[in-house]
Amino acid sequence: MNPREKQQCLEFAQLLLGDSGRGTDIAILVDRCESLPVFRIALLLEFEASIAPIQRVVAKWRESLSRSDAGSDSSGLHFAAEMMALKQSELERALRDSTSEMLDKLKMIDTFTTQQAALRDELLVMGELISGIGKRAVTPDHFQERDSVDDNASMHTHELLVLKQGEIRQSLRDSTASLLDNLKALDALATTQSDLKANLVEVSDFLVRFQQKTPKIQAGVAELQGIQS
Amino acid sequence: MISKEQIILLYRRILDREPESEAVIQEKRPSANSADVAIEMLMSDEFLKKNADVIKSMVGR
Repeated sequence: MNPREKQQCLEFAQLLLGDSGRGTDIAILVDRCESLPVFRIALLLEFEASIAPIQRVVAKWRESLSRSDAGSDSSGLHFAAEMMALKQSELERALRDSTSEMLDKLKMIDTFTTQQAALRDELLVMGELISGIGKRAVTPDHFQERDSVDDNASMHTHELLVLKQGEIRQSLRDSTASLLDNLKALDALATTQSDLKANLVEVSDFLVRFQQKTPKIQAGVAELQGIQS
Repeated sequence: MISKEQIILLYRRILDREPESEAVIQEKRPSANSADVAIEMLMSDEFLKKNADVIKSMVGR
């Protein structure tokens, strides 16, 4: 401090202590402080134990500080509790949405599984049909055994059979392609289902952790409110 | 009874300002001594607000 500030400190000490300050080395305290505001507090703390009115002043400062800290702690805890409640609500909503989405996907998977089973049955029937036609087509005695001399009619029947066989093969190819597409869609749905399950587990873990923390914070808030009242 | 000059000095050294009016000076003059007025000023909300940081750092520790 400069000499002018030091002089101001000494004036303050004189106004506050009067003759009570005599015999104490106020000048040393002035040298230890960097400004008048700091010196004012330091002087009161120095004489707190020995002068009753000064003791009352410092007690009031302490009470005011403690009230201010308690208010700050309480409002901080309230804020944290509100934030946690909000977060919990958001997580619950996300969980509900995820569950609903998963149920929709499971319904789709059921539908695809039914379709897949129907296609397999259809393929089996077609396969048996083709097999039967093929056997008849390659058996030389089939037409020879027939009691008929009409070669033209026999040829016509043979052509029709070949034509039908071609149609059935084409249909079989189409069904197989459709089945493969459905199987791919099923794979994609299974992946989505797995992802959704993982998300659900994660969200559930979050909820459990928040639910564990919430009572502690509420207890802390209640305790602070109890202290304040 | 304390002097007008002492009241003005108390305002300057404790509240870091001039008295707001002649009336407040006269109001404080009947006090027995400057220490009583000083204590009153040191306990005021104005002093507490103006010196909150210093008080918190020195009294709070």
